[in-house]
Amino acid sequence: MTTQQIDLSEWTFWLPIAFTIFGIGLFILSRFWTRAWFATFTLTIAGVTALTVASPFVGWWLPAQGSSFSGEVDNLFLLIMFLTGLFFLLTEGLILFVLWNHAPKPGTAPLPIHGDHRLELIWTVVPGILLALIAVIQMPTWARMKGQGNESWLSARYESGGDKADLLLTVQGRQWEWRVRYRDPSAPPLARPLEWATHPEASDLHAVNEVHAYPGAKVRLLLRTQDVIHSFFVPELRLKQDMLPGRTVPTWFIPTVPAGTSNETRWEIACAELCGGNHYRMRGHLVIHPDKASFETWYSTAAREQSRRSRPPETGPLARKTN
Amino acid sequence: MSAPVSHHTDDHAPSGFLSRYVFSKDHKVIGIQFFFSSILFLLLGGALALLVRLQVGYPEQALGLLTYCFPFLQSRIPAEWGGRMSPEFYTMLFTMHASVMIFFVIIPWLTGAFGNFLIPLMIGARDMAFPTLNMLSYWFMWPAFICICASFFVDGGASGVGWTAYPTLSSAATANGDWASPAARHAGAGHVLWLISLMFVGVSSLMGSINYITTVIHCRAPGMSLWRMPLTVWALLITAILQSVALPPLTVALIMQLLDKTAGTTFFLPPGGVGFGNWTTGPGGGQPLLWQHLFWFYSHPAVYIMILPAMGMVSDIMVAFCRKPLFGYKPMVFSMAAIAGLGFIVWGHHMFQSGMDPRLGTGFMLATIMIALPSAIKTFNWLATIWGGDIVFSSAMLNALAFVSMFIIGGLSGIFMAATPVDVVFHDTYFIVAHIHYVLFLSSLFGIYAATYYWYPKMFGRCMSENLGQLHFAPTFILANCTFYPMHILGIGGHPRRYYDPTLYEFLLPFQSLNRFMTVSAVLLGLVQILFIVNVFGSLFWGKKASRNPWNSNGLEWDTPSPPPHGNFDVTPLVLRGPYEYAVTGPSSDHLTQTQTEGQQS
Repeated sequence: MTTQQIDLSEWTFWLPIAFTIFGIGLFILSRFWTRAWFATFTLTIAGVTALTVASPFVGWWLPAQGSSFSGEVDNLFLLIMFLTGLFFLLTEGLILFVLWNHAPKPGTAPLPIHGDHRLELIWTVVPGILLALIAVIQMPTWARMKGQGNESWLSARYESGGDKADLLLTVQGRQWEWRVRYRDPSAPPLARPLEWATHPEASDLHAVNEVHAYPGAKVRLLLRTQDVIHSFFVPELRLKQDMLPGRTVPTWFIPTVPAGTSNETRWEIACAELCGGNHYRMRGHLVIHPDKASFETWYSTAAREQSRRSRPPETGPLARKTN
Repeated sequence: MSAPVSHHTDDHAPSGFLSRYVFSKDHKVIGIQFFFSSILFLLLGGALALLVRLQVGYPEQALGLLTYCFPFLQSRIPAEWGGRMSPEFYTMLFTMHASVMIFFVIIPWLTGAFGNFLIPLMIGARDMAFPTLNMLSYWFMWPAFICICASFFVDGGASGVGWTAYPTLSSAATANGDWASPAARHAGAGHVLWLISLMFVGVSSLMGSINYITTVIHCRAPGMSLWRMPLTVWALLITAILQSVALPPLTVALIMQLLDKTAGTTFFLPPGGVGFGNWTTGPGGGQPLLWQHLFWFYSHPAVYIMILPAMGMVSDIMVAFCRKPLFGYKPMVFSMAAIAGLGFIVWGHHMFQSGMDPRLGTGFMLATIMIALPSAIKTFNWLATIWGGDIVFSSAMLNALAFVSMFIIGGLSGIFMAATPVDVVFHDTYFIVAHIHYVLFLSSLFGIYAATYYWYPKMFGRCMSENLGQLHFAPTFILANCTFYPMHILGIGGHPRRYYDPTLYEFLLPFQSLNRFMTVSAVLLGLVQILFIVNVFGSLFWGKKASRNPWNSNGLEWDTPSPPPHGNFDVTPLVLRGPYEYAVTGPSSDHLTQTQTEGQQS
């Protein structure tokens, strides 16, 4: 635990120091040069703009897209980025223009203007319309993400044979791991899928910290927690859903991988709601098999493995009597 | 009952030291008391923030770095930590950083210090409507100060469940009646003290806000109609209304959680109970989600409580330093009122991913989208105010300009959170941390700095050093952006907040260099703040003597001596006009104060 491990020559160390000296330099400059403050604001705002524009090119950007709705969410994000970016450039540009001018022309004085109705109208109505656009355009995406669309396989009441989820599984959080339980895909449809979350069956497959699926699978997740609030977060899926003590929270996703992927894809599952000291260690994996056949091979192997032992590997939270 | 408009203060100032400076009923002294306690807590909150940054930037070396710089800490570090900061200790650091900064720095500084000091002066009153209640509102902070400071030293340490204190992590209790929590080491006695402390802060703020509302409604000088009040007073009035409506639910929620914690009630425990390892609680009778609704019903308006006063003060400061009238006075007031009104129906946007009904989410989304509009209106009016002005680059003006230019970033990044599908992705990532710091650090705190530079001469009769102030501003502005802007990028990459060691995750590894950059920037940012502290305390003794009106401003407060005597005004002022008559041909300068007749010398 020594300081020697820290690389003082890395840009992360010397750049902030350079910026500090630069700031002090601008202050000194402002004693002689009336536009030093214009320079301070301009360089700072140009800096944050440059970082935003450059980030995607150095790998500091959105994670890969891995679910049926991730592209839709990203497009919404980019639309908002574009609109807010325009307003950012417009308003900051106006401030910088004022700072550049900073004084009326010699011989003139500031005008005693107290307001202007037409201007007020313009800058109320134009942002209002754009905000209304953002509000309306996101509603279908939200409804779809939350299973409020036409997907009957997400219905709370029944699973009809043709419309049932390809994979039904319960993920139960606890300090500090994810307990996963799969319903046998060949088992008959359920009258009340949500109830299965609290009523395990003998044919269920149990696992810890790993969720397996395959591209295009309709995965229905029933989220529960044993102790505190956790949040099931897979950045690539653009999926984040809290687990509430005492409730079963349903959610879903359909994983996608780039065409031609022949290996397993492993994405990390992170907990996104503070759940105690080891919150940061509540790490799991979402394993996307290349196709349905390889998923089924994995499933049958795991199921055989489990039945070879006399009891499920874990009889913890799920077996806990719900009274 | 006495008439409401009577002045309760007598003409003779109290003579004893205690009644004059300690148990004072004078609004100016109480304001200054709030001012100094906020500065002290700013130091504590800042130190906690630096420790948080150190851990996130250098997860392996944080403790080594710390003991390298402060060798005396070596003997105080528990051996079981094994050379690294413990993860539980880290949860305590960010919890207490947020709690201290929100409840002991920003809110008391804005409403307690400036609210108390400025309201009576700006409306021409001799004091607050209820001076004793006012004194009590400050002295109710002291049990809170003591509890929050003591909580660091109790068994288990200070609260470590996040400033949002979500049950069941925060509220789970053991059967044997002690306060140790089965859920987290830092949810024991320290968290009980945290709850008690916040209750005292809440009651203090409630007393203050009732006092402010009454004072503004009843104690205005003749001629000071509502539409002649400076925006600072409007902002503080609207903030006080927000506080008086939002604080009771928070206090109730805090009491409920305290009872859950200590008396065995189960307001936030679900019917099935919860289990920790081998220990299972009994059946409960409530819901964890209930806390989130109650908490955010206060804590979302609290965000506006922390920004509205700064908005008002920055408006008044910018006007004085660009020598032009405020653009759109009434739209400014109406948009603040709209923010306050809408502020009560947007709390659900903190809960889009919580398991709340998604249709409810749509309603909260619409309200959240709407609240962006008044913020946009305010921004455009500020721009129009400085447009064509004769700008004086004083320390106060620079900080005010920083407020406006950074509030734009904080406001625009909020629109991402109003879009439900995008918010779900960004929820509890660093994008949120970036947003809140652009609103609270780069806006509220810059607003506070601006207001401090601007009203300091009135408070203490001496000016702060302009050179030191501007030397403080330039690196602070740059480094604050270095510290907080990259957090947006981290959030876009999916970096969860409150992670003790992000290097455990493969998808976060590319971002670790940014984390180190932000940590170094944060440490330098912290060091630069010493200039401000030196300026505040040094100027008390060595500052240039201030005249009545050092900035040639219009407000009534500049009609009094600096500092104003007990009772404020020699003669009750007669107000003739609004506070924004700049760029006019006044009798001796470019402005007309609120009391000057046209031909009078200022």
